[in-house]
Amino acid sequence: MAMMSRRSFLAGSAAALGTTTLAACGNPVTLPESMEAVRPNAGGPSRGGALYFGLSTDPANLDPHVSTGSASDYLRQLAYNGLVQYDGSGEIIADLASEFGWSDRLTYKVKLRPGVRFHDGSTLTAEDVVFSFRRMMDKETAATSGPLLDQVDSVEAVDATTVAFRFEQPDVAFPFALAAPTSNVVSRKWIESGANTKTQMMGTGPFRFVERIPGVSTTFVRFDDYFEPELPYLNGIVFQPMGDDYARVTALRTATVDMIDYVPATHVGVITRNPRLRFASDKTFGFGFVGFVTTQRPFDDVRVRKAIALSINRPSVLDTALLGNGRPMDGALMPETFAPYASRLDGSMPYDPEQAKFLLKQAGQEGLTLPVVTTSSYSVIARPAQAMLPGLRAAGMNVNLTQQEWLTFRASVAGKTFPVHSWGTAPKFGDPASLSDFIGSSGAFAENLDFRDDKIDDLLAQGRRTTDPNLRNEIYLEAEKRALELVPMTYTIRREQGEAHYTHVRGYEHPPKGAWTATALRRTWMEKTA
Amino acid sequence: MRRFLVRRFGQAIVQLLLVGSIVFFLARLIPGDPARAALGDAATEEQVALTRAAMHLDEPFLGQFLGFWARLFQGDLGTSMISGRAVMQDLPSRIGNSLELVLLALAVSLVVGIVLGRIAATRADKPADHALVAGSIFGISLPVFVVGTLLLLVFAVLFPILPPRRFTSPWEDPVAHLQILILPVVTLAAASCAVITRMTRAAMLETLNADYVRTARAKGLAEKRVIRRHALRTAMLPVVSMTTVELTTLIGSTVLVETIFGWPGMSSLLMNAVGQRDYPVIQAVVLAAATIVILVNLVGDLAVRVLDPRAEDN
Amino acid sequence: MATAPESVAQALPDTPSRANGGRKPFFKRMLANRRTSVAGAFLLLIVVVAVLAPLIAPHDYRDIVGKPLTSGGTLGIDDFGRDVLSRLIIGLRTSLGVAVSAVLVAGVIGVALGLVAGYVGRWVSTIIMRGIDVLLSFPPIVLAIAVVAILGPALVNVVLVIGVLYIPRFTRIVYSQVLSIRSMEYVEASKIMGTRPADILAKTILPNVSAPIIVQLSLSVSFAIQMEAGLSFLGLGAQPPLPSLGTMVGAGRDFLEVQPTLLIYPSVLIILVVLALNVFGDGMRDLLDPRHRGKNS
Repeated sequence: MAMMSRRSFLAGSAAALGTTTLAACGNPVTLPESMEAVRPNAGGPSRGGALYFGLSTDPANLDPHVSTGSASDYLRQLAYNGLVQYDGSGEIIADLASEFGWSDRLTYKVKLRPGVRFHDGSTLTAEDVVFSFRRMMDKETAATSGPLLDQVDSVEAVDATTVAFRFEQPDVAFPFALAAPTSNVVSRKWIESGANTKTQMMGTGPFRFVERIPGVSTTFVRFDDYFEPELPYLNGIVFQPMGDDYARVTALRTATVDMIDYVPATHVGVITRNPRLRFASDKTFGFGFVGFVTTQRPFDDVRVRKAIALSINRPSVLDTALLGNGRPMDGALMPETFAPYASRLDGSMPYDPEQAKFLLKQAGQEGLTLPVVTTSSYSVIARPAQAMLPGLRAAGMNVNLTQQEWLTFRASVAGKTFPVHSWGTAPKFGDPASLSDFIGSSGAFAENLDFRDDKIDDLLAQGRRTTDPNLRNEIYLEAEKRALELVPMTYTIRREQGEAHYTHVRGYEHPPKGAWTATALRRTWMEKTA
Repeated sequence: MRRFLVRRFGQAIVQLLLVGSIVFFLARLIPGDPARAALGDAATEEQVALTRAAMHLDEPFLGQFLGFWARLFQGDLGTSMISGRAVMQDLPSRIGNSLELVLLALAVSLVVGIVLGRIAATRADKPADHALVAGSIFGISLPVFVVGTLLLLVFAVLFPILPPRRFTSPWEDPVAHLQILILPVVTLAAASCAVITRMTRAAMLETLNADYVRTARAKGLAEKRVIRRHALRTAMLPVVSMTTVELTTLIGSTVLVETIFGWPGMSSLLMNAVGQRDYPVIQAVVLAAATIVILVNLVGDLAVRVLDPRAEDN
Repeated sequence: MATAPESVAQALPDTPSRANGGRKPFFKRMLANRRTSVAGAFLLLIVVVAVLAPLIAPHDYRDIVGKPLTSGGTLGIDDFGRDVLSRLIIGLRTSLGVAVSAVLVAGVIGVALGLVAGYVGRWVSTIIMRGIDVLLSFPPIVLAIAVVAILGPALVNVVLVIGVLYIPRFTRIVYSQVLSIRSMEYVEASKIMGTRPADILAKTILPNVSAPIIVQLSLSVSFAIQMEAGLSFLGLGAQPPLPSLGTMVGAGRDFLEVQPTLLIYPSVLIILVVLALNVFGDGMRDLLDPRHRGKNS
């Protein structure tokens, strides 16, 4: 009904009724009117319809292997498939693979589904898979999955439909690397023909890429030869970039779009109170942290870092910065959904300004002035940084908070221009092995902290080799314990993050186990009767 | 007049060269680089360094600078470092969309502003004047993003008369296009309309009191004629020079308006490019905007000469 | 004056000063105009509040004093649990400080450039006016973003950027005014009498172009408040937790439907300040304008 009222508003102008026109001047792309029709299917998902999606960014680089953030993964995972994927409950299931798994301790084999076609009509072969993974492992590609694949010794086609990955030592995290939204399979022929992978997409996915009009829309239509029967249900998906939080929420509330991503914490209330809207979210994945450059005085002193960690009033940060939409984080970095040990570390970092004062005194840093940098570009990062200030002041510290625009902030963090930064991100995948990004010496986030601890490095390497789940659990528990002692960074809050959509949009599930994936959109359908 | 034109065109070209050079260096002075923007936040320093090299950002500044001008003179505005699209592919339609917004807003604010300013001046100190002055101050003092937000809240959420619709081109559906134009244009025009009202009022009061106008009155010319022939015409001088300033302000304000309403104009193209340090796009958009502004100023200068024969250049 | 038709008197704003005669001292004439003096008194109050802000504010603007987004305190509690009244007072101080300093920078430099360009003419005016054109041909917000990004987000840098951005407003207006009066008899007369150019500029030309400058000054302060708001909105202005009226309006936007006063209070304050500036500016124009005075004496 919402869709009806939106479109029938212009009843006077017949052209507007039911017509979906999306075009910039002189550059028309029209999804035919018939695409919006939905065919009800008794007992099963309806077929047809076009989904309009308000996206928080306008992903510019469509390369299958380079991600600029979770929003761009939506597009990538519509046009491309990986070998495996996460299902609705966060388990790894087949995608292009028909069978997959370790054939021995050092070999991972994937058998491909037969008869999978690319959008250009050609058939997927093992050669394409080998080519794709070699492209990701090539440092020149700067592939997002590159660091996850660093344990792979070789990848080769055993026969026309089987691919073997060989290792020098076991790598428990490898399946997560395969399921990552940036581990996509591309057509070797297409890439070698010189296709511009930044502006075009051509994969095996359920939707064909039609066109991206920067700032206006990115359009996909159903791929009729998709290998999964019935899928996809929708005729098309149109992404509209809406960078401004308020604009995005308004577009949803006025039914200009059916769905939005990245619901800002300040608007969760407005959306959850609306019975026609559904908020699909998690409180496990995204988190905020304060990082220290551990080689700069006085932050090379663990007592100073610990004092700061103890002065952050996490429940208060949560209540003010995110209006309670999230959870305070006073223990492990990894959430208990995929790190069973996590609850054993709860309460390790209480709010204790008296103890903080004591530690500062011991370190000879009473009344310390703290230069902190954060970014103004994302409220989920900027707001917690602001909200932690009263706690720090209560422990006698002065904070000079500087907000920088995103890339300036990134340059400041990488260049270590400020000894302390307040940031927010998410683990790359849903396994404690992703700890290495943050506390492993070669991790992208640890690099910013000049942090290196041999014991943690040993534990992380051990964890990645160990297959016994109980043993792994103990290993990562040790690693996290040590990180809580050394405090290269202190975690603040887990933010509630998710998408909102009308209830007539069905079948969409927010990734449940904290493993980011956007494949749920492949299975989404609309029951709109209009 | 012809010599004036030739000289002003020469100056315009020198200005463009200056703007182009300034923006080239300014963009590169901002911390952060496109290589980092092209990769996600978990990219390692090694990956960033490789991407930087692939973007030719390691090469000496001077070479990049000369290359930029060399390509520009061949009519090549370059290719986006992030999206891999030729800048020319997007720029014309973006400029068109922005100009539509800006020119409409300017037209609305000129018409409304001059009319209201004249009303206020001729009814100085009467209720109409007070109301207009108060109204214009209201328009001036509200930040653009507040006006936009309030309009959206009132006309889209609370009373959905003008819901924010998808961008529709005027060729396809003029009615729908006009519908989506209203709120952004009103938002954009609010402040400049108020400014022009104020300027017209002030300038007219000034000239109404000037000796030659009083002489005209003393000669017994009809009041209407006095206002139209003498006062309004002279009062137009500062309004004309304000208009050119106002146009630049409008082009600046579109940054916020295009963001709030998701309008695909050149400001949003530019803001995206600045956010990603996409140097070729930044350079192209700023140069295009500068060209427009310089042309507007040229026309403004011409208008001043036509309106006021006393104002000779030199 | 007596010969002026009725309609002229109607067309002139704020006539009381004239009716009371022009020989009275400046302040007396100002006080005689009720509107101007009310506006002036309000501005004085605002300035006093801004100067004494830390003493007047009931709470520390950074402290958590209550449950977020509730109506505690005099004017409520903001989303971070802080006292809205205290933040308004400190925010007023920040905004006024930035806007006034920026406009002074712009006014002094802009007027000087405009006078010189208009009076000297020739290549001097070409260089100045084309330089102004180059400055004007950049989209202002983008220039501000770039410069603040390069220099770092500090209030001093914001003052400088806004100041530089508003130079053209003054230069252009003064320039066109000077051009149109340069050849008038009284200027020519001064020249013939051998008055030094600096004196002609300061004593003859400046007073005659002051009316639009004053209007522009008061307008520019309000624009500067807005520009500061825009920059703060983009995270480049006042750095948290220090509030400015702009940051408060920007932050209030997110809570428009939960607690609209977070947006309304700072907006109303901005409007009041701008209103006062404008009324006061108008009054001052009428009092200062030599042509008005000339008619009365």
